[in-house]
Amino acid sequence: MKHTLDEKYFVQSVKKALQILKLFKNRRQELSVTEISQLMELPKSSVHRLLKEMVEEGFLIQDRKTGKYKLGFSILALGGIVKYHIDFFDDARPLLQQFVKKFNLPIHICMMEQQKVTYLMRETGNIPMKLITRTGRQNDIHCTAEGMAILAYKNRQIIDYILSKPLKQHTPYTLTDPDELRDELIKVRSQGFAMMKDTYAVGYSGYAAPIRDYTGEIFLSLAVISKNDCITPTIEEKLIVAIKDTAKEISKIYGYYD
Amino acid sequence: MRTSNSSLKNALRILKTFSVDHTELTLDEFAANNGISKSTACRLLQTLESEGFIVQNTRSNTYHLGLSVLYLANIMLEGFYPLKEMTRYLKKCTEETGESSHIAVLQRKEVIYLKKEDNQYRIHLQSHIGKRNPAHCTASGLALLAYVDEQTIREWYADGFERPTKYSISSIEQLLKRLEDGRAKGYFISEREMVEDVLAVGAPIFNKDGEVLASISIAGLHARMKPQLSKITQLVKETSKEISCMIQHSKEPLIHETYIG
Repeated sequence: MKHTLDEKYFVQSVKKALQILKLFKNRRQELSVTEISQLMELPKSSVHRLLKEMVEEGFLIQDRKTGKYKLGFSILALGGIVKYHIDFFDDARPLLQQFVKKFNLPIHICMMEQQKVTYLMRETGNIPMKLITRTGRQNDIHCTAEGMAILAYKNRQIIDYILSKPLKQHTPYTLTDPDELRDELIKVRSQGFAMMKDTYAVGYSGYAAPIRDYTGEIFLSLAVISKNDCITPTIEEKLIVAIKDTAKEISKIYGYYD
Repeated sequence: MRTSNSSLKNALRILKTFSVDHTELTLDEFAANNGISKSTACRLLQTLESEGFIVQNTRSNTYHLGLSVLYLANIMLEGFYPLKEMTRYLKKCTEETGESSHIAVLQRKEVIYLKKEDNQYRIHLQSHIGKRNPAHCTASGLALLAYVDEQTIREWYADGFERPTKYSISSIEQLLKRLEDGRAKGYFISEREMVEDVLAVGAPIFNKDGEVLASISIAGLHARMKPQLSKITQLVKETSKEISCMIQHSKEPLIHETYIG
């Protein structure tokens, strides 16, 4: 079966409904019909219809008192059967905390899905640094160490597919030539490590190592994304070793042993 | 007259086709399970994939649930304010007994597990996070049902009782008696009623207004649980009181509803 997703095959009502679900955030647990229709730029009547069906299937709950909507238990039930289990991230957190304590730099667990890399979990400690990441946000792969550290281990079909898409020039330093990116991926594979400077935002760099699961497959990366001036050459060397080591520790939690 | 389901309904049902035992499914299975054509299923799958709700495994041509689902589930758990704070109580229960402990809520007559602390054995208890079980078969469920009004209970069970084992409750009189006993004792026991060789003990957690928010339970193999039953019932009772007390003294908003009408 073909892997590419073709926009014109998408069922629009389904797509809109899924996007409505994604409007809910940690700090935005409840939404009214009016808010949803404004955020989605859809008329209230069509929003109503979608909400009604999602409530019927348990994906949303309508509060009896306020009339507002929140995520329903069907979501939780599905969360419990996701291949990568919720608890897994709990297990990894102490390792991230340890890392932050030592380096005082923000660290992330990232996952590649489809054509993007997503920040699953972040540990920042009390670092007084303006952060450019957010849990749950997606980012481009070609301009981030966290993305490249995963893509480097994917098969050619997937690499070709991602590099065939328009590659956004985020900064003057972003690589957008597929051949140059391919060379970069080879480098990442041979070093077991990705490093990108100023390619997503000027003044920021990313350092990332792959995390493996019990099958040896790489689906996650461990990444430090920091302001350049927080990282001196001496720290950089230690940092790279520590990221690789911590990524190996997390791989062990996920059942992978060298 | 259109009788077939809307696309959205079909898409949501496709998501619900996944279970712990079926984490990878094929296009054929989606189509067959939901009574839709393969071409319809294919379009729905592509749409679900475009938003990260499912992921296609190109090697095996199967699909599994995607990150968007995990992300939303985490948001949902985050929304249940006291849940994080309850973790240490669960840890204590599991440490002291060596068995798994859970926090659950009621959704109509089903119990849903929100948080679980696994024991060393990791036996299959049918109680992972997000799992639904018939409330009348489980200790955590009975602890929650006991505070639903009798009229509603009678309505819910007017059509009879699901019976996963031969020990499961089978009549409304039996259920009401069990709920009454439990209310008097302050704890509820399910003995082989959900899984043949499992025994569980549960107790309710109350908010400031005396409403039941959730329940706590400890469950494990019957052979291991039975000898230390009095110690476990005592622990469950005490812990449920401690959690209730912690919640009653906090200023945060709480789980709003324990069951949804």
